[in-house]
Order: sequence, then C-alpha cells, then structure tokens
Amino acid sequence: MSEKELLKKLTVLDFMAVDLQLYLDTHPDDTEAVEKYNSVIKDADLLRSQYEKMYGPLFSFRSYNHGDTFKWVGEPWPWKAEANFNIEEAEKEDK
Amino acid sequence: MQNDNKTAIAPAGECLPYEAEIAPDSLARAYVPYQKICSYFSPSKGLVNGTIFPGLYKPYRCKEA
Repeated sequence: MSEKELLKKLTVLDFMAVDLQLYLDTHPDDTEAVEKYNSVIKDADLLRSQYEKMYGPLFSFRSYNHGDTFKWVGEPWPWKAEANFNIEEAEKEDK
Repeated sequence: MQNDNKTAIAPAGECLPYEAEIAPDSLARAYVPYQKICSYFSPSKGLVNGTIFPGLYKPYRCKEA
C-alpha cells in the first residue's frame, strides 16, 4: 500500500475514533459503541505502527524511532502538502 | 397504537437514531432527543461527510429554483 493510501486509511480510522469518543462522552454505557471504539483503536494502532515502520514517525514524542538518527526532524513537516493526502481525491476513490 | 404526537414512530423495520419518547414539559424549553446508534457510515465516507453517524448528516442543499 502506498504511503498516501496508508495515511488516508489511518486518518479515516482516527476520525472515527474521535466521533465515537464524542458519542461515548454522553453514552458511556453503550457497550456496543465501546466495542466499536475498541476495534477502531486496535485497527488504527496496527496501521499506525505499519506506517511508522515504513514511512517515519507521526508523533514527535511517542513514535518509535526506526534507525539510529532522529527521523522526526527529517520528515516533511506535518502541515506540508506532501505530508498529507487530498480529500477530494480520497472522495473520488470512494465513489 | 394511538399516537399522542409525543412519540416519534420509526417506519416499520427501520431503526430510529434517537429516543422516541419526547415529552416536552413546558413552553420555551428546547429539547434535543438523546441519540441512539442505528448504523455507521463507512470509515472513509464518515471522514468526507464530517460524521460517522448517518442520523447527524444534514448537508444544506439549495433547492433548484
């Protein structure tokens, strides 16, 4: 899977986790939603470690650093276009 | 079942994404019904739509003149 595809899948799962958290704030006893949240977190973590192994750290302070030089400084800055994917294209892919 | 127009009725077989028994108890008091989960958008659709809950997806579409 290409970097952008993996990043998009990861971003999509993170978005879902955030929305589930907002719902769970007011519905903490909804066990089905808690299960859904746990499965999303599990999937996201799996993708995150894959991404970071292949393409570099996503967090400056909680990503494993693969290699003996500090990769965080070498990556494109997170707000740079090349560090992200285009949502319109992502939308087209879903059609 | 006589509908006392306080209870929303879901079309047969369909799941209502919010609590149905709403009993407004006074004037001038807005009430937002409690959300219930019926289904989720697919993860990628959720990101594009801005929510993973179909019940909350309300895009403003202008009516054709």
